[in-house]
Amino acid sequence: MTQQIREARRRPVRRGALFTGVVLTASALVLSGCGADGGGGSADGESGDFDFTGKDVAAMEDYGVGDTFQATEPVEFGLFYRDHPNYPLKDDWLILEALEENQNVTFDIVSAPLSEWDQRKSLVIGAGDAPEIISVTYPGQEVAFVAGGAILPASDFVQYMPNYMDKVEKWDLEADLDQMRQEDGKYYVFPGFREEPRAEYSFAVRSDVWEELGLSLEPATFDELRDQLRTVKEAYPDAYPMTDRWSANGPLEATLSFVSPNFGTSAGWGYGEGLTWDGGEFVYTGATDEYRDLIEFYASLVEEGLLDPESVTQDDDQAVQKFASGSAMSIGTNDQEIVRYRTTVDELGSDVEMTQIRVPAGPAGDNFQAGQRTVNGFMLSSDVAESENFLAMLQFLDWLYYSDEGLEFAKWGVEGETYTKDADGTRVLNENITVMGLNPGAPENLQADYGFSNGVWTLVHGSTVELDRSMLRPEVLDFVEAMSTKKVLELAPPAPLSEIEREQVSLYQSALKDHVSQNTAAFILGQRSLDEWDAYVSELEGMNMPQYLELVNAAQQRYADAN
Amino acid sequence: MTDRLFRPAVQGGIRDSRSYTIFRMINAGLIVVICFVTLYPFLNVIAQAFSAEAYINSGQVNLIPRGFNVTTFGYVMGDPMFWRNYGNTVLYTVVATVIAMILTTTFAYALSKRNLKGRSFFIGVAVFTMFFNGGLIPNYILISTLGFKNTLWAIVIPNAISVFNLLVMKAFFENFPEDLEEAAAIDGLNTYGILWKIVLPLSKAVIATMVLFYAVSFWNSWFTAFLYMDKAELYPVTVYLRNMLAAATGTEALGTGGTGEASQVASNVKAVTMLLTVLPIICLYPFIQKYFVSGVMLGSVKQ
Amino acid sequence: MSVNNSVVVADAIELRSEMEERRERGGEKPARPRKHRVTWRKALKRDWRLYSLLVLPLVFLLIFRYLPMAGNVIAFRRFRPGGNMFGDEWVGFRYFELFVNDPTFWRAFWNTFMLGGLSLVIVFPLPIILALMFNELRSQRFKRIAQSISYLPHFMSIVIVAGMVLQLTSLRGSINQGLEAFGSSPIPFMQLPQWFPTVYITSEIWQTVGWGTILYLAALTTIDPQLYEAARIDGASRWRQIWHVTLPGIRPTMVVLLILNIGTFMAVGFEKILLLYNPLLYPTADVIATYLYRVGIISSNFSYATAIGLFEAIIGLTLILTANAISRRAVGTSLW
Repeated sequence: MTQQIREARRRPVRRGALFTGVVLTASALVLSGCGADGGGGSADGESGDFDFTGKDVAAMEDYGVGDTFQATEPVEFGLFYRDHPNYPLKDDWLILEALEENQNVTFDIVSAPLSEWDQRKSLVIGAGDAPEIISVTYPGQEVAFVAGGAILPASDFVQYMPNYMDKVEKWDLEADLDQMRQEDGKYYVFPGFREEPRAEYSFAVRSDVWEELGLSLEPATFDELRDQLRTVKEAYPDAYPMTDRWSANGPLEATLSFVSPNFGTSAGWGYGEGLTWDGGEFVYTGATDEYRDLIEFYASLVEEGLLDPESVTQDDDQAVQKFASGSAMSIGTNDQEIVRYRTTVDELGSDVEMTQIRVPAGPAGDNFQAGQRTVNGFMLSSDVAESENFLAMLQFLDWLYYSDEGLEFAKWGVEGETYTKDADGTRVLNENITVMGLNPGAPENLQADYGFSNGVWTLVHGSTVELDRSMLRPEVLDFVEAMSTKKVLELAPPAPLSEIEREQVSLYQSALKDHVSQNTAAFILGQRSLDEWDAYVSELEGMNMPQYLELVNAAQQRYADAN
Repeated sequence: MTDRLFRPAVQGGIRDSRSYTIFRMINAGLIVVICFVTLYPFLNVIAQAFSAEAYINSGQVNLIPRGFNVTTFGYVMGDPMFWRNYGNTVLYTVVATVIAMILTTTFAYALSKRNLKGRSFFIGVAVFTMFFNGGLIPNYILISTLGFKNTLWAIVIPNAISVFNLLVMKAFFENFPEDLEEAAAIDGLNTYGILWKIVLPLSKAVIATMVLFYAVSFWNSWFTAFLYMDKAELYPVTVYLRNMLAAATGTEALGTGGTGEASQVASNVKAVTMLLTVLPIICLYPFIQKYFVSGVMLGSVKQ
Repeated sequence: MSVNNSVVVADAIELRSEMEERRERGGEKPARPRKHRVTWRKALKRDWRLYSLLVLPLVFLLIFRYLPMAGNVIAFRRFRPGGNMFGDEWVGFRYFELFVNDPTFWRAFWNTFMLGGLSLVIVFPLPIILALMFNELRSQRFKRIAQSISYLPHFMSIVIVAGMVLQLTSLRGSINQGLEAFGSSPIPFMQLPQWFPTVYITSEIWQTVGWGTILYLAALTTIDPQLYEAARIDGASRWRQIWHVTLPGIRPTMVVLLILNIGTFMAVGFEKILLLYNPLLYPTADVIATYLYRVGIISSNFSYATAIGLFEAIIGLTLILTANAISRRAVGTSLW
């Protein structure tokens, strides 16, 4: 089973910190008199300059934005590699060859299978045995390892990574980075960046049925969507207008995560720690009126027979079966699953058609979840700070993961060998290579045979809007562009907790979240009447909700005061 | 065959009672029902393994494969790493079972002697380990320090003794007729000889059972492998298949094959991986079955 | 010196008839030598070969089981991943207090107790009954085929079994179809906490009963056929034979398994419940292992998990000691 850790950790911090940081760094630079290499002026490295004597073997003298990294002598870095069965690791991959030839970099790889990735990572770091570069880490997963000192504080060293700093400045990512800060003000993971968040999840509807009934494929609001479902129900009384999936760990997790921002709240995968910032302090998401509105909407769907009641608990396979066999007329999807649904019905020879619709607007507006711009990244084990190749490593990682050239390389490959560029700059994949649905049926696969677009070396498939969308199918492009008109919500201020606080809080969080999940499902199904909402809130209060909020608000205050 | 089932047997001149005959009929009937209930889901899985994606996704597969194809099988079995890992599993299982049997049998036999001084203490030492263990990290550090990581030993040693099996075996040995052992002692055998020449040959049933238990558990194990192996070539096939299953059914958008081949095997990859893991071990059972004969020859020798 | 098995057997028969004659002659059973204190020296001298058999297993246990146990100390110390293996600072009973004060933990504890207990009471006797049923089959071929088929569920992967259970219990699944045929309305089994124990136990029965007969079948082969012969001559019907020969013959196995199962009944299977449960079912389905799993995702707190582990271990140990003592008093057989 997979851990769908999509809870972006919110670590709010005040903007005041940035200003102080700039002043300190600037004075440190002036006083120390050395310019390090290319660090941007808007660095937020709080600590002073790091002394790289003895640790800059193989590093480039002059390295900045736009430079191609090449180590001055061959280096080998330890890498904790996530082995994905779609592209098993091969020694002769072009990506490895190219990195060795052009960058003078090779890897000492320690593999772990995708199926046990998180557990193995946790074990290996816990036992103090972690390799230098720990790939595929989501912001939030590093928190447990901070106290033990096993992980390098990334924020102290990003000042030496010019492309990183450049993107932070260009894309205004300060607030997003602040979310990851710990109690000591530092953050410990090097996140992947997205220029703009990319929408992936939505509803897939039977466009043939919708068209037959004269319904628009672009419902503007959820109320409109509900009316559409009613029409479908009247026309097809034996089928469910909507079913849903991804309820493995909680009711309708994927769907609620993209629906909830339109109701002014967060739910499902987006629930995170259950904190909503109301402008002055944190309140508990599961007890807010907006959350209630969301649940009320869904409860009405179930009550009117518009939503299959089993959606909140069923297996994904069952959900897909219902949709594919026509017992349900719409289902939750992402841009890859819809292809699977389509192949299924095509093979069965039916005339069913489907589209992924834009997520409608809700009572709180036409919104998109906050904080989706810092994504899956990597960590460094703290002993790299002792390595003689430390500076070279920072430069290399900066180039590969944050420079436009490196990002393009990791995603598309080598120009001339795996792709070509048109006159207007569009990249065209070689005809004999397929990936992500481009050039279907081609004999070679960019991931499996060449090692590019690999989740370990490509953070988030791109990051600039342009690169990100360069490999998408036209249908997905339409969807993404339609969704990009949504308003991205703002982040809450950071409230990092101390180690001891976190120990206590994790138990509160777990208990509260369980109760919220359980009751969300119960309210939606009608097992519990919404009249009992107040009773439910009192139950939450009895489960240490006030204590939890107190701790978190105090932490936020503490951080705000210190910065 | 049916009349053999239902005809009341006549043994030693005494006919079976009527109630017993009825019982035997009901008994056979119930067992047929049980067989059906246990076999049906298995046949369903086999059918799914050979069916096309579309039929599985729309829930149309029951006992007969629909859209018969062996694509997933081909996909899996065409990967040389799969065979490499399969070989690993066979190697790990055989070595681990041998080591486990040696340790467990000698331990159980020694502990079955009631007049062994300190016996209770030693049994207690074993039972204690059933409940208390050190946890993941201390074990990891131990195996790492011993240099077992990425070797065969990391898999076959840590779980070499199952206290459960040990205690069951001990109980069997305790029940072994003492007179046989005494007679052998009189005839000049020492402890090792008695164990090797008398006790073991006559305990075929329990030894076969333990071999089966250990072999099955080592065959299915993946936990130790994922903990201590850093290279894909060293994985047993269970890790390989688990990995494949996780990729096919996970919601990791990043790095997924998208519309590539892999996502199309998602629906029956569960069935295929299960069959590939299970078939060899099921085939093992009939060979073990012939050892389930009476171990005590005493009664067959007429006075 | 090679010894012929049949010679040994013949000698044993002689020995046995001698002993029987002695008994018939009216003497008491040759008394066991009074248990006087045997010193270690004497014991080692007498049984050194037996002790030699113990050496390798004990060394194994020492290195691979007892040595890592030292790591359990982190239940009393704050362990930081990547820091000292034995924890960084002493915190005493803090983690114990944390879980004792958490009502969710106690709910999980109670569920573990219930599910484990039901398993023990319901699932334990069934393989015995099935083994006896197999034993009464006359046709050897049918018996062998039926046995092999009954083992199949044990080999089915948990993921598939969970999927099957969910399918069967769904609103349009087989069970509800059957209910509708009888006129009642469909029940959403997997959304009502009161049904979970039934669903869980039934799937456990299905999956384990066949495999569980193996040990009993092995035990049945150790019953001396002569005893059946003797009973038949004495005029016992097949029922009485089962009662007086078969059952006592497998009694030692039953007792050992019962004690072991009592000792481990709190170790309720984690993976199956994880795959089957959902938040609506937490009140009856959440067990200690799944509770720890959810808390672990948020906190990765090894010390907390170890503290709970120690708690469970102490309970298990107490249970097995008690079961063993009771068994010794009541039935005469025990684990040690």
